[in-house]
Amino acid sequence: MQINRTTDYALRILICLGRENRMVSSSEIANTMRISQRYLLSIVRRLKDQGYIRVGFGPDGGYSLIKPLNMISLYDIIILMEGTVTILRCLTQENHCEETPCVLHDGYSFLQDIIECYLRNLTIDMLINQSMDTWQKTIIEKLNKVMGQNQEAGIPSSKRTKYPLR
Amino acid sequence: MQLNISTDYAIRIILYLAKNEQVVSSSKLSKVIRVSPRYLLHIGSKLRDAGLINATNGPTGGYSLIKPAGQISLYDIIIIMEGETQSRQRPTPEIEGYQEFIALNIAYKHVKSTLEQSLKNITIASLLS
Repeated sequence: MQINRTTDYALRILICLGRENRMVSSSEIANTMRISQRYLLSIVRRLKDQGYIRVGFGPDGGYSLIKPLNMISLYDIIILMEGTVTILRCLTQENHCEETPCVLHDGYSFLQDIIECYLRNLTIDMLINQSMDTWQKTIIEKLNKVMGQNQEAGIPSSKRTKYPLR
Repeated sequence: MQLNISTDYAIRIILYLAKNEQVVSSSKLSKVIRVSPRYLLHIGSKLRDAGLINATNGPTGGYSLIKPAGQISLYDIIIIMEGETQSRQRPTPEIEGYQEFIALNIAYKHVKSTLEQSLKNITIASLLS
């Protein structure tokens, strides 16, 4: 139920590059993150393949961000690194349940909507350039919208998510 | 973020036993859930050790639910199946001067606690109602 360590590092690398706005050498990133360059390379390769960063070679080489910060959400990176943000398989894989849709769908899919709303709406730009209060306010507004939609769809209150944001 | 496949199966096993309210043979259960009897044994022993199900041997033996379905939440099952691995995970170290990492950790906490709170409120009984 937790994010993978590698996904976490991918996000931190993007934050690093997002703050610097220049080409950052791999040794500098590896030192800051306290990880090996080899590990860094394995993560960076995937970010590069998906067009998030650019690799420069030579003495002034390193990595730089090429995608705008406000277009990189937590959701995007989790999908890139882990393939899915669902915790239950029946929401992603066809024919996984013996009956479709199974009882887990009904009980759980609204919760998935909430989680995805949070992750899709939180961007690297918000983490770097906004105060926690500001981005949390934005997220709460978006969540309220989704909760409202769930209410209209007739989800019983016992099954509605209560989220503990301040 | 996805649950282990064995957790997925454990949830389905509990759902099936709750629905059927009787002793289900291991051969029947492994067929319904679509796992090998050996794998079923592995999952079943964890659920049994946690007091959710009973396992008996013999010709009329099998698995049955002993904890009421209204007292078993999805969160309970997840902790039974994955609790050990979760507590073993060390958090990523904080880096001085990077407020953004603190913000990121807070975001993870929000998502995790939203999930946990909600999963604690989804009981097997509520799923079957």
